Amino acid sequence: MSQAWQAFGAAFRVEASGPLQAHFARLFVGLPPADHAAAAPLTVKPPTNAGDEVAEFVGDMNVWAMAAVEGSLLLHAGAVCRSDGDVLVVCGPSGSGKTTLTAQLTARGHSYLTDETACIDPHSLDVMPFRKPISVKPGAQGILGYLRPGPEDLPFIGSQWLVPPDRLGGMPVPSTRLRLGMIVFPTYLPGEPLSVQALTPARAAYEMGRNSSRLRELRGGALDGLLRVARRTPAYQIVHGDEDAAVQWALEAWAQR
Amino acid sequence: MTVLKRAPLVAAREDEGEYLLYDGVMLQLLSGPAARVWELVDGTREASEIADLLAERHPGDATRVRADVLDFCADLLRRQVVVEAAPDGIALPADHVGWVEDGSTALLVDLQTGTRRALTASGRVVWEAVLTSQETDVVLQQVRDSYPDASPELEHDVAQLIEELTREGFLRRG
Repeated sequence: MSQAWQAFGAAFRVEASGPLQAHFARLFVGLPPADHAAAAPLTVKPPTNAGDEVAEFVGDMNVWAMAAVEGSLLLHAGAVCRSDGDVLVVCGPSGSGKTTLTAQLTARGHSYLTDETACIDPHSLDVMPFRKPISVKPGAQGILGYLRPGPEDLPFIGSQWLVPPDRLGGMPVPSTRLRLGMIVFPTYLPGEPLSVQALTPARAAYEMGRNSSRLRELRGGALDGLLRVARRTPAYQIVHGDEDAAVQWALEAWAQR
Repeated sequence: MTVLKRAPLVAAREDEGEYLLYDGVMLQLLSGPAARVWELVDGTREASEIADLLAERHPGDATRVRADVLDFCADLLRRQVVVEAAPDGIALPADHVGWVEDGSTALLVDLQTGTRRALTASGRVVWEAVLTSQETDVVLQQVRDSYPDASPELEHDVAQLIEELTREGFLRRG
């Protein structure tokens, strides 16, 4: 029987056969289990190029799950948290380096929350975890080589690696309330020295808005919601060519909160 | 050149002198000089006036500032962040107003308050002209066409009636 999981509180099950079903069970180990009978069936297309279609399915599942949290601030971001529940969000478009930073922050002993969509309540700043498998694109596979999928998953691997969160290291998600603490907007430029700019609330709100989904549905209004979050959360834009330097800076800045 | 005003469908919020704009599709941030331009777009100034005002604040670089502001205003117009205000603030019929004909005259009714206003035959001509156009010249021409022998005070009388109807809530500024 297929298993069922929750993504942002919405229950789904995967309709797939044999080894592919087992692969999904490994990938979704970070998601809370769900009642199979109540779960919406999400069907994976019969694989011709199994790896890329599996990655596409996980991306589609992410989009489907966002409907369940309509009204929240949905940032295109990775996120990790500390043992006290304070959350660091790494926000940016594809290629900005957020997945690499998220994986490395997790490896440094923090709890992985997501690498794709940070779901933030615009009033309480509470963060809902979405521990989907981390997607490691070709550009990040060099520095994250230690996350290369194991032999049991190789038949389903395409151009990007899908890595279950239990392989990232880090700590379990604390049972305490998870609350937004700091936002970083990274830009990766090879060879560029680290530079950091603290953002004004308006600039931070703008950067969040342009890296968000379903902004029009934000509870309390898009502009008011973005500014409410931005006024209460320190935000920084960093440009770097060295992930270690970026991670080190982020940890030090975050520790000062 | 026409007066500029902020586009009605663009919401704006200010924080520490910067402005965040959103029309339901596009999010924009105006900082520094762009924010100063936005502050001066208030439905009373033309782009050239805004450019002159900001150039005065930078006397050592006035020519460049003026050109940049004019370019920026043109860009805001192109992106429909600002629009051209109706000339002379000509008013539009309010959404909640109905009217009925009574021979050559008319009766306006504010459906929200129940207030009524009777219009003379000439008042009805003005009302019907405003229904079809919010351009002053067009309204005046329609009235002149109806009263070719009207006194020179026609323009003043039309403006006065429009002002009264606006004050009474039957018309609203566009």
